Amino acid sequence: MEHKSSPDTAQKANPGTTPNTIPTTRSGTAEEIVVLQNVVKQYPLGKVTVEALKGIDLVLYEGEFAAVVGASGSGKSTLLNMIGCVDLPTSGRVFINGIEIGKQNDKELTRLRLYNLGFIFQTFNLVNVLSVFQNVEMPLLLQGNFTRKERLLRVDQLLDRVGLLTHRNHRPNELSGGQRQRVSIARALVGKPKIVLADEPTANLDSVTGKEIIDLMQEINHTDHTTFLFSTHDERVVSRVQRIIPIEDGLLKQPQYNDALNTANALTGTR
Amino acid sequence: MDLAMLGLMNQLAWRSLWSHRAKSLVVGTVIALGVFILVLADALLDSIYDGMESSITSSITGQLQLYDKEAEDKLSLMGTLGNFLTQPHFGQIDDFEIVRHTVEKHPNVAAVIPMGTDSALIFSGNNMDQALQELRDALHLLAPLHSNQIMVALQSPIARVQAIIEHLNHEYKLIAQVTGQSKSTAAAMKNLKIVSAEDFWQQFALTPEPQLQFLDTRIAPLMDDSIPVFLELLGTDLERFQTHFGRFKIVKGAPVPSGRRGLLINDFQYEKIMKDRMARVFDSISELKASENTRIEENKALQDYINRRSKEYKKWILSFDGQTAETIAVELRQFLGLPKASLEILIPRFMDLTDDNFERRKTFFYEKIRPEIKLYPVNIGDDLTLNKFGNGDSQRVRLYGTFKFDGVENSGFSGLFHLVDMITFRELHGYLTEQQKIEIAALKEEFSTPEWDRNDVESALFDNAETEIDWSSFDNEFEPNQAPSSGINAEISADFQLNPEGSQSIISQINEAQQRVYPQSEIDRGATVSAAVILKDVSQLEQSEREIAALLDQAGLPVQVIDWQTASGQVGQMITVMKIVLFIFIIFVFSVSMVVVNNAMLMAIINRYGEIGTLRAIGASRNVIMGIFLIESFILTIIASLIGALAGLLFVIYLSHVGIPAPRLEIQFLFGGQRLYPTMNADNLYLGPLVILLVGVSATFYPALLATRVPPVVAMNARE
Repeated sequence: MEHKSSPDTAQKANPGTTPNTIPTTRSGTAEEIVVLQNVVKQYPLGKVTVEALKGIDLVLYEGEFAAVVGASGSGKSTLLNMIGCVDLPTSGRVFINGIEIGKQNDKELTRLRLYNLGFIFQTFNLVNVLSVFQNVEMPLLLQGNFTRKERLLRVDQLLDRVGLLTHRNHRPNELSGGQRQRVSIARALVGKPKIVLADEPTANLDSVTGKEIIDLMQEINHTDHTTFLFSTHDERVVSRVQRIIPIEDGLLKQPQYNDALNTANALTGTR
Repeated sequence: MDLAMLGLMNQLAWRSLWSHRAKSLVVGTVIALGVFILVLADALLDSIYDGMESSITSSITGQLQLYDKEAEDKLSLMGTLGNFLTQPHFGQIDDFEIVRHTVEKHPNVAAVIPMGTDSALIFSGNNMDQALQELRDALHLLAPLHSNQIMVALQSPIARVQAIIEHLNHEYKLIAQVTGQSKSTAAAMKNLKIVSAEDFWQQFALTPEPQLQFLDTRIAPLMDDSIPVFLELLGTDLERFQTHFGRFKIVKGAPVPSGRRGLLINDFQYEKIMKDRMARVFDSISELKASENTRIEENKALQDYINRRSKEYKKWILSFDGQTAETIAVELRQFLGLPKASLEILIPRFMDLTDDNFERRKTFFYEKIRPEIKLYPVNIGDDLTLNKFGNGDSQRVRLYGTFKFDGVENSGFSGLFHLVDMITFRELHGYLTEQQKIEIAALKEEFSTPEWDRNDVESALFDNAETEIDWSSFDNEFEPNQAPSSGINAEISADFQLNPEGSQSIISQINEAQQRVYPQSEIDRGATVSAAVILKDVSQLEQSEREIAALLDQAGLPVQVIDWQTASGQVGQMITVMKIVLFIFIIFVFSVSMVVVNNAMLMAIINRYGEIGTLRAIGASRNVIMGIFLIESFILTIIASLIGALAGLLFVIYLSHVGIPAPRLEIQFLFGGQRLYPTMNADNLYLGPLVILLVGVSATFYPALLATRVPPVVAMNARE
């Protein structure tokens, strides 16, 4: 699963979009974990066809903390869906960890998501009938190669880390929004994915809670080098990411880099 | 996917069921109810089947019936209801004895009993019968006297009989003038001539009994003012029948003595149909009051019944003779305090029954009126003439008693038949094998013609040496004063034509036939319509049926074997009809369950669209999604089924204690008694739940398949 056949054509195909940025704090050259080549996505909407993505080229490197930023209908959710392997492009190619998703069947895509991707949803999407612990445990059960002890250890560690160990036996609907999103983060991380995709993770939270959630994810990004990609138009998130990937009418614009955390390649902070 | 995942799916299912408990409850209730009804219906039907099997096999058919392979119609012992005008053709088993010996070789056969159905009319209440009864009674009273004295004392009753004969003579002369001399008219006139003759009455003074028999059988039927009573007869080996049909019980009178001719009337018909109509009103009300605590005031149907019956007072009055009418009128006038009223007023007034006056009037009826009237058209101990329906044949037979089949005595079905001995049946039915004819001819020669000398008899025997006649059994059985009967009407008529003085011999034959004890071999030998096979181990019915058929084939006998259900005809097919109804019902219950489960699961999937999408997004495979829903439906169905089955079991256990009362008398036959005590067996219990489980899971399959098609992308747009 974790074979590294990242095509070197990726960079050649889109020289203009993303220059060779090395955004990680890790030493050495970061690996290309997500590569999009001329991705087009069209939806039929009644009798007309809507083109949500009009030819996207993008490379994400391992350990990046990035956000796709755009207005509603700009195509940012569609872009995230492509990367999340929950939707397939109409044309163009998407590589996740070197695997081209367009060539995978449903079963393989499911495994790809299970082992490589973590999801944090705007609406948390926890299974209400299961406890906090069980929600977080779910991806481990689906992966299936963990003993009970291992699962207990790993889930409890994560719950401790997101500050909810005391709530492990609660049901999601007994928790606040922020707490639920923490559970969601724990669930996204428990399978040790390469990339965590967070779709508007703060949209349903107040500003203080939203900040705490961003702090938590940033901390995880720092310590575990997990790649985070957000879709957002929340200023608080935008100001915290390393790379801002603006999207407008299905096309990417010049990325921007926050310098607060990365000295190298820092551009001006305006969008 | 490992055990832990299954555990989680299981937990997910339980919790989903709990969190949507209202829906689960509705679906579960429908399933539980379906299973409950199925289990109950299945158990009841099985019990009814058992009840019916018991009713039929232990009263009429036995487990198996044997009959002619070449019969035109299918044997149906109980299926000719209301169809007695066209006699079905069931063929005949030519020699029952051989069949019996062949079939009894099978180790599971307890008994083989010959059977045949026929119908006959008896006439009761005619003036001649009454006159003859009067004569008989007088004879009994005067028995110790010398015959000459008797004749003097009997002058009055004899005069009455002779007056009737005179009347008949006149009638038949008229008939002959109008319609010409038909065969039956000629025979009637012949018989009338015999009884009109001086020497008939001279003979009567010496041996009154045979002469009375002749008057009974030949003259009484010529009176047409009598009430015909129609009897469906089952001719059989009475002794074996009584031994092997477990439900058979004598109610009144006594069993027919071993080897004798005799008739047993079904007590149900005797009490409910033949008994005096007025008496039946009192009986019915008594029964209702006793069994259901009915009050006349509150029971509209009962009031209607009483009203209807009291309007029939004219029929009653007509059924009384002059003396009786007067006696009853006197009693009623006194009882009702209406000194001048006529019977036309008295009887409706008397029958105006209320809860208050019922007991007093019933007592009055049984004490004062009952002795004056003829309660039954035929009395136990009477010698009756069975008139074959359709032709002029008749047989004289004594009514020994009434019988019932235990547990089903109140059912019309079991009251269908009256039992008559095999000898009488054969003769009534007109069965004669070649062998029998030879025997009868031989027997007649030997016993009926006393003027034969020894040499002639010996030569006759010698001539017949080729034929197989079991003389030895006759020698053993015969007492000196008993002669075997021919009883064959054709032969009797022939005698009369050839030799008018021969009447004496015929009369004595009829009489002797009554007194004769027939050996078993004679009862067995000869034709029968069918034969009942009683098995020792009923559970091996099917196997025994096949093996007996094989035995018969081996012996080269053209006899087929059918089971009781087939043999009982339309009645036996009722169970098949009920099974079809149950089957349709099962399909209905399943369809409903299927739709309900299907709908509920589709709703669940719509409700949990986002959840499914999320699970798919975070890496749950389609199999996992499918599994979650199947497990959920499995759990719901199995719990609901168990509850339904348990409820069904408990209810059946409850019913097995209290019993289900038969709503109608006919139903008692199906129930095998007055109440059905249903029993439960394992089949009844697991069949319902198993099928429902299958239905439940298969009804989930399609919705679950749809669930697996939920795209993971919906997770992105999901709202909690």
